[in-house]
Amino acid sequence: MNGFLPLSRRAMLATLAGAAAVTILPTVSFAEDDIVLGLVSPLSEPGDVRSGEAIKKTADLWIKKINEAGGIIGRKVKLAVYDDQGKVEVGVSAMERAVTEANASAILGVWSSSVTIGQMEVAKGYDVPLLAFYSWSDEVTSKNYPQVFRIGPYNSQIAAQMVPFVKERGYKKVVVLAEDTAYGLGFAKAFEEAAKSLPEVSLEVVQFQAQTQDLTAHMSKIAASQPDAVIVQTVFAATNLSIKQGREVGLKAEIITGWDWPLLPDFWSTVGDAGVGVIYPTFSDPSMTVTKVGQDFIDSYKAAYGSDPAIFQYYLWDNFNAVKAAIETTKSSAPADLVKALPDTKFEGTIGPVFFRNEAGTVNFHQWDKFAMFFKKLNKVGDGEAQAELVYVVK
Amino acid sequence: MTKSMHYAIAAIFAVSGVAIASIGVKPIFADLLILSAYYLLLAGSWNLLAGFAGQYSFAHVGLAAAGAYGTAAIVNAFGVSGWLAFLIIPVFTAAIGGLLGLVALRVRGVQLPLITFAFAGAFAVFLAAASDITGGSMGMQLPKLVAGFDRSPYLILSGLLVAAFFVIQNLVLDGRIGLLMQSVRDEEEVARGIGVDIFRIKVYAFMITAGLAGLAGAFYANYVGVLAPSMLSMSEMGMVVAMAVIGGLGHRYGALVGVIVIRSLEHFVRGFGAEYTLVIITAVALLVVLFFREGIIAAVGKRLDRSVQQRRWASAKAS
Amino acid sequence: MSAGADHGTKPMMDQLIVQSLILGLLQGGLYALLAVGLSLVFGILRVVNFAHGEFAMLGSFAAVFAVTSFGMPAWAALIAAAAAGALVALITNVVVLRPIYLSRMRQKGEYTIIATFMLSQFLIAATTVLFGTTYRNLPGLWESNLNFFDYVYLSGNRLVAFSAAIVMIGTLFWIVYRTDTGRAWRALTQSPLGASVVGIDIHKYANYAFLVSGAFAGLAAGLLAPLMFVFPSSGVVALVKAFIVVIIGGMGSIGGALAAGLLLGVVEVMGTIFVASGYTDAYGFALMIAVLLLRPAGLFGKMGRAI
Repeated sequence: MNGFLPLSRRAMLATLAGAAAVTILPTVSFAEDDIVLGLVSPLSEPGDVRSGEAIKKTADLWIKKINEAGGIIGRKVKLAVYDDQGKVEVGVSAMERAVTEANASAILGVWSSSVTIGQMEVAKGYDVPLLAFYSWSDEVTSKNYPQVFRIGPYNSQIAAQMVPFVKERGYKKVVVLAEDTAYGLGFAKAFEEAAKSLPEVSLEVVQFQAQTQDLTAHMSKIAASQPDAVIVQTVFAATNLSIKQGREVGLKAEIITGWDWPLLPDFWSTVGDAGVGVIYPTFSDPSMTVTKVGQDFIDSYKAAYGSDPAIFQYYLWDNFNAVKAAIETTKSSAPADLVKALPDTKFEGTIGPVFFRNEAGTVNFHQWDKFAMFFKKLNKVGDGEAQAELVYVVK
Repeated sequence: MTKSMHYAIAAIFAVSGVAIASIGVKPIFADLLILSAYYLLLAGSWNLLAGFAGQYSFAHVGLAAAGAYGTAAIVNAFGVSGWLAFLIIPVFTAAIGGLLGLVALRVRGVQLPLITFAFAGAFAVFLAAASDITGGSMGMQLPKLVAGFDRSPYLILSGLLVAAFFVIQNLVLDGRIGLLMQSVRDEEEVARGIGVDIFRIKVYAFMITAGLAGLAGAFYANYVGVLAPSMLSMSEMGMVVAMAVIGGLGHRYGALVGVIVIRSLEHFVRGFGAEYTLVIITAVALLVVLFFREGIIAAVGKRLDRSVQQRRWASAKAS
Repeated sequence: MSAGADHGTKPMMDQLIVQSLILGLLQGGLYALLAVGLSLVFGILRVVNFAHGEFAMLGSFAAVFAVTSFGMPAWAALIAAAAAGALVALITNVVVLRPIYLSRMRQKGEYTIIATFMLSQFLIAATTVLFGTTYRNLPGLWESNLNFFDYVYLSGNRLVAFSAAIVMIGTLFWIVYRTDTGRAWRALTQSPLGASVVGIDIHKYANYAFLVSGAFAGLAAGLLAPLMFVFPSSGVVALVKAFIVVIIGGMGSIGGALAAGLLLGVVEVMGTIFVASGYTDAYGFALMIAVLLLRPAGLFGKMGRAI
């Protein structure tokens, strides 16, 4: 770092500060023989820190268990952790560092769709596998990048699975309340597309600012149009707000949340009575078959952290096992070898056998999709996953 | 410092950009330097507007965002090369800045920060809500200026842009317009009395600094490749203001020192955990605002003067 | 407000107009309560306080902790909110602002903006580290949803909050126009120099103004919390609304703040329902820009002097 030329005193100071910055850099060192996996997740604001922490816990547990069992092909496995802050440019640069500095064999733990889509370019540029699990944008797999894989759902699939449910319940007028993000508007578009197969259902999308604190105006507007059902497509805070304020302004429709946010701990304390009758879709149900691998994951997670893992953590676990299976097949940890091996990798996942669909030109490329969607209803205050009534299943 | 020294500093930046690029640095350090150039352009031009012309605008990052989105728009819609954006966008944002000035400068004093704040706020709502046009929080993508992951072109460009900024700043401050800007800041009524067209000077200051903000935005868009509304959050504007204030408002190298201090701080304190970064940075900025109102440069300068005087006094006594 | 008449039947449109008007007015009362303190401080000290929103945010946190950690009832939580807001405001005035307006630097008004802006960023960051970003809920005084003839729907909390806001603003009117403190404030607003000549202690009355300003912000946040949530960056929203209200109403005018608050509430709700639902926050900004350009002193302000 002696790259600067002789400078004025002030510029000299700048150089010193810069040089100091470089020397103090936290350098991660890895033994030659270790297999390194990159974890790039939202670990600080404005990223989704709550999910980021859950991701990190899952990853740490997996690494610990694998190394206790002797590693993969006799080599120890290490995790190189990077924070994407929920920002595209940070996530992209973090992934690049995972690849160039830590020599990661594969990148896992990526979360927000917009960040993932940015990171896909890095995966392509360096030919390193990128495994997504809860980045829901169709684009992640529909772009058909050879390096990108997903064990987890995608927007248009979830929207399509909502359609039979809407038909089953006999809704005639449905409003989608969507936040102005990739998540909210992405779903709204996909659902509008999917609902074309139900000409008898009239559909309206009401958009709102994601960071809003007051939805009474939106809910009054929706209430006045007297729909049969409102699908609230937003992350948890506005989910709670829309339910509470919707009932406040006399909304009588059934409320279906975008995902299983009502299972989060602050649901009942913030919505109270208004939460009764809310329906939520999820991939997780006690009736779901959990494999031996899955049961082992649940038990060790409970032992380590004292709580049950959420369903997305199952998929992350499968992501890690996919990489493990690919390394075992190829006997190599070189990223390019894994990119070649992953499409045909098959292994026992947490809720069934996992294999990728490889239909080029479609969203089902490097995509696993064998999950059932459960619709569950909360019938009294305080209901959790175990008490919720199963009202419909889409296989 | 003499005039030629100010130009020498600009030249040093241009050369060191090339030097660093040819030596090659770790990607993380390259990213740090490149984005620091973006912040320097922003904080430096805000310092010109607030520190020298006395016009405290809170729409500055908004103008950079307009420049960045503008770049993405012309690259995507008309297939214009990203390089051309460096020429087109500053003109475009200077025009917006001029319009903003024409409108916002109808109010005076502390109302100016408020009205510009409102413009920036409304623009941020638009960027997020009009997702059909802007991509909303999903972001707006554009192809990179140089394909691949090589940072050297951007390092060279950073050096050149910083050099260009200092050259422009020198031209403005050493020219007639700079003097008039400072007269408007210091004694608006007196300046008016001696026949300075105050309104015109203010609008020019808005246009020049908006052009520089647009240049920063075009650079950001071309380098990062994905734009999101978070680019113009309140805390980003706060960061830019903090950079200018820490170094010293109204000092030619105030923004440079501020950018160095804040970017290094950001870098060092990352290790404590990201949530502490913002606390430490804002605490430092607040302390400087409270106790070193003229900024670090002036505070250090005074101390140096004092110690020089003491030494002289001591040596005089000894002899 | 005729847009949107094409969907829905006529009576439903009427219902929606009545409902949104009432919602807007109720919301507006709280905006006014958030703003009067900001306006008061501006009138007396010419300080545009960017940390005003954080007085509110810290007040609402105090209320939440009063209930969750100390088991206090909901009404006591409101007092805690007001007290916390007042305390933070007082400290802000003494530590951050007084040194600036006592100094001889140029452009003090602008510099206080920067100082309070930095303070606000610091308080948000510090609160985030201390309490995390989890959304918290505060129980209200009247936790039930009311239904008036199947026509207008409201929550009890909203009515309580609005009534409290109006009572408090009335109290402030009484203080300003019927007490010695109020007379001193008005004197300071009209002429700081004149007031000091006749022996009014500017520091004392500035402190009083900040105490009231912080207490009102804290109380407003405590009343808003049951309707929304409590989290570290909630002050930003509060600040933006308060600014808009103060600008529209005229800086330093309490009656103006009340009228402007109600106007902002109605415009936001009506805009959201009848124009475009995704632009809620933009309506206030648009209103503010229009007022600054057409009537820089505010719709109800009567200030002739340059600020």
